[in-house]
Amino acid sequence: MTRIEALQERCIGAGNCVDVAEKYFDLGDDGLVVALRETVEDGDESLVRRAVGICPATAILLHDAGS
Amino acid sequence: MTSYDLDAPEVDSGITWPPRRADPLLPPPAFDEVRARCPVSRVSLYDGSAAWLATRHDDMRALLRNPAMSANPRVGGYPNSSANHSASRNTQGGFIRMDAPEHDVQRRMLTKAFSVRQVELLRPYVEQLVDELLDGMAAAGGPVDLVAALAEPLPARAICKILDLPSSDAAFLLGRVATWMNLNSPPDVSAQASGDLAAFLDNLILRRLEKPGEDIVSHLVAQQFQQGAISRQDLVGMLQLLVVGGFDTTANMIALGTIAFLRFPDQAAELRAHPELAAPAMEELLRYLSVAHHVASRVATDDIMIRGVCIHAGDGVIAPIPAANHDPEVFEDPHVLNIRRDARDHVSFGFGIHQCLGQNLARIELQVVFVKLLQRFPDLRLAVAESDLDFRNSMIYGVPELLVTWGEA
Ligand code: HEM
Repeated sequence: MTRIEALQERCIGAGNCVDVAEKYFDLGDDGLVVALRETVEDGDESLVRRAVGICPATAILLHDAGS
Repeated sequence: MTSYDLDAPEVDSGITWPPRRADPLLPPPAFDEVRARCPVSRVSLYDGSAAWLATRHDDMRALLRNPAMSANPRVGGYPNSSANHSASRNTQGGFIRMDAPEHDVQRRMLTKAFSVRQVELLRPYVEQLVDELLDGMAAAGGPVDLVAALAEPLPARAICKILDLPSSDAAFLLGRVATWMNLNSPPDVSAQASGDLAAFLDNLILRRLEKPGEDIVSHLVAQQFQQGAISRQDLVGMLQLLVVGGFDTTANMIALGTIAFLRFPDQAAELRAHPELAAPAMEELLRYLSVAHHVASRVATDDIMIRGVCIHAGDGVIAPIPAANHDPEVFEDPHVLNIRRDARDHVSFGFGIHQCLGQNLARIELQVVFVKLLQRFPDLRLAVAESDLDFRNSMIYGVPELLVTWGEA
């Protein structure tokens, strides 16, 4: 199981994560990232990894269970 | 493991920056050759110094998101394209040239106003504006200079709307920015233009201080300046950045995008027939054209290992946006314009903490302008041969003028 962490203190509000994975991310009223789910669901691995890759500010982290 | 330094002959690209283009709409072919042979390599700069050149998409992203890459041109080793580039970069203020944490503090003051949700509210205004500008073109009749009639006024009037300035101020702002950023302006003329703009914006701050409204400047004055969170000088620099950031970039996307659609009529026909493709089509156009071709330059503040080379603190790094956007490992047939591809991984708005603040606004402007332009003038064509156009190697790639026409010849 992979846990999702969205770091608002790093987020610059570009919104790219929402564009590629709206099921997992949104921007709050302050324009900064909010994770909509705590973990990556089966089959969504590559979608969420794309959001991680596209984030310019390294504000989305994935933690594999046990690590 | 051995690693190469900047002076190692093994990593020499043989390129003097900037390399030449062969096709005016495509990146210099040298990027493809170097990416395959030595993806992080050495380039020579105009002043005889050397810098690193990163041509792969993944390396570009890794470097630009690395906190050891400074965007401050006053840090020794910062790579410039020419003496004029160097001078104009040094007169540029605002957080685009600051590093964390100062950068982040100032940028955050604007995050909400430029968020997708807020700028979407401007879409109806942008639509109305584009209709007006196209009406103007139709009334004037071809040939018309599309740059002066459409590409420049659109971003200028959009920013006027955001700053709550009368649209009659758009011409003043455009004129001052053009003189300031023109690499052929003598330094004193350029400095005068940037001074005029600063004085105008400083005066705007005073006006909003006296009589606040609902606009972004009023909010910045009340919530940041009056609370002591930003100095008056920094606020002027920030506003200057908002004005400058969207001008040449958006205008040249519109001008070059028009040239591209006219060169590839099947793509134009596809967008005309399927306006719902506007969003993906504009991501592809942004990728294909990569107008901010001299923008992603940094200087290392710490040693970094990447792809077998050691970038030392003080080394300059150039990660050209066109090179990353035409990396065949990420984009199949990268030199082909295909508005149906998923191009969202492009880096046309840069990468890292400086990724374009205005990207959501720019997207709306481009989506609206191309659908409407192609529908309004289905037989739009160049009024001069493409080979006679004056493609300019300025900070942002583009053409200063684009004569187009339509209807009966
Ligand atoms: C198609 C149009 C545009 C393109 C291609 C573009 C491109 C870029 C690029 C590549 C950067 C990063 C520069 C770097 O890393 O050194 C950037 C930054 C920036 N852009 Fe844009 N831009 C566009 C439109 C706009 C608009 C419309 C605005 C404002 C209203 C704007 C405001 C900014 C600002 C403020 C920054 C600095 C962000 C920071 O340093 O955190 N841009 N832009």
